[in-house]
Amino acid sequence: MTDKWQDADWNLFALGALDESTQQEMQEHLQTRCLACRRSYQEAVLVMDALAATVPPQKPSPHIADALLSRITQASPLVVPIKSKRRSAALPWVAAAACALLALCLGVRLEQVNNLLRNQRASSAAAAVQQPAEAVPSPAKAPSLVPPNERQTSPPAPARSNASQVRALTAQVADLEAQKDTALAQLNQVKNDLANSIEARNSLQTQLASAREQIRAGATDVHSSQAQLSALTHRLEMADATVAELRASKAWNAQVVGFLQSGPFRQVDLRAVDPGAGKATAVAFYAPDRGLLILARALPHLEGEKCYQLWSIHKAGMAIRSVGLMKTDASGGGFLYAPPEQDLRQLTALAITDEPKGGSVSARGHKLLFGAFN
Amino acid sequence: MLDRGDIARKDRLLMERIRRREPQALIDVYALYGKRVFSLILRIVHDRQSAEEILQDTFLRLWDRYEFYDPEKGALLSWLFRVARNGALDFRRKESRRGNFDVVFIEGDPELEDLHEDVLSVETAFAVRDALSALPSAQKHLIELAYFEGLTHSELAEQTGESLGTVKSRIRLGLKKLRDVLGNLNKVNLR
Repeated sequence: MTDKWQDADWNLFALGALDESTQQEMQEHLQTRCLACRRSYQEAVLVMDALAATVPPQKPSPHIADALLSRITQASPLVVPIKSKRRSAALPWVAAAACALLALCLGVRLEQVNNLLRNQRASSAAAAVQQPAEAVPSPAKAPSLVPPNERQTSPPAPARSNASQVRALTAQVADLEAQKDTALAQLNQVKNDLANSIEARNSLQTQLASAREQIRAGATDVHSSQAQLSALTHRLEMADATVAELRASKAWNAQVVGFLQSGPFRQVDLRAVDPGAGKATAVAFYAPDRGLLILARALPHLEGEKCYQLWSIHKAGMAIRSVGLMKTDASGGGFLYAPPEQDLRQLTALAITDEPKGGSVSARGHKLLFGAFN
Repeated sequence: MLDRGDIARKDRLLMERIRRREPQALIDVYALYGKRVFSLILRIVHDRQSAEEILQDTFLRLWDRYEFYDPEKGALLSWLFRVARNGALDFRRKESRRGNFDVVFIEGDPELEDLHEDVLSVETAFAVRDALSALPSAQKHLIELAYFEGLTHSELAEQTGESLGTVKSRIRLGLKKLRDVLGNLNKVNLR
């Protein structure tokens, strides 16, 4: 777990109470398989489950199990509860358009009939007070249901037939009103169906988005798994290298322990005598019959092509001889073992210097550590 | 009463049957967990017909997407609770946008007080219920609004007039107390 996630509030996440972007970010982090965060999240989920368990118990209708079984076996549903949201989405649109058109036509037609009726009633009233010849309504003033070409040749209707025409038109109006009401009722029904269809479509869109999200999450998982595999492979290689290093170290440690346990030896501490040595220290053990062993720690990393070299200083003529090159590791640890065959007689002091890679014949680098045997 | 191991084993067997596409397995899962899931949905949507539709959708989702349930991540009931809650909160949000949502207090069915016996320790359920009741009213109110009504902390701050920090802090404290209760019981029957 990185610092960023140490303070992450998995309780609020499990509660779904965080803002959308944070919720999303934490969700993605969980998919990285961060074990610490997963554990925190699972603990939070326990609390959420416990909250769900505090709800007063309720019993669903007994038909639900049958309905479920019907739906998964693709038989016709035994019960009602599936709303119209599962109907085809296109049908209500067509039906709505048809009903709207029908209602519009009926409305226009109804208006025409009403106008005609008003005019007929006005004509009847006029006929009652005028001469029959004058009672003939003008085609221009009284619209007729008869087509214009027939109007040209048909004789004018007598005024006394207006009453029966008015009755017929009234009946027609009533009929059209009834048709209009029916059409409006159908229109309302279709509107409801339309609203349900829109809801169903929205629900399907949500499900689709959810499915896409899950697919995306799956893809992320695959990507994440590949990255993990790569990281694990790298770690395995590193572990192999470490094992090899530790095996070498173990062999060396056995040699050191053997050296230290095999009898008395002279010991000298080497201390830093140059600022370039930093906090480095070293200790050397010497026994003429077993050789010289020197262990150093905190040796600074040498820049460029350089190495550490151990020098022995001898009483006779204060001769300075190279003992060898120090082996160092990444942590600044260093060691060197000189077998007893090497001429270390009259050894009085030891020094470590930095020299060009491969070492020098005579000490030329900085004298970093120095220690003299008492 | 089943212990955690029994529940995990039972879940595993049921899921194995669902993977083999045995319809009766889904009905068995429903028989085991349907009432608990329905209670949660009804608590959120306050309408029986809608709750029953969401209940069916929840179990059909398990049937259609069984591979999304990972037993390593928790108990089957836990997964069903999450799916059901999400479905119920979605429904509630849509209804609220249409202005169709009225809050109605739902009483428990006294005949079902033993409902927990198969899947959840009675002790745990009642202890958590008591702990929830014992919370300071502000903490309890916020937790209930967040869990059962799906409000985010920003919405809670807006609704209660408290600062965002106060809201978060109260929820954290309240949930911590519930978690402590669970920890002390040390035998929660939900993984």
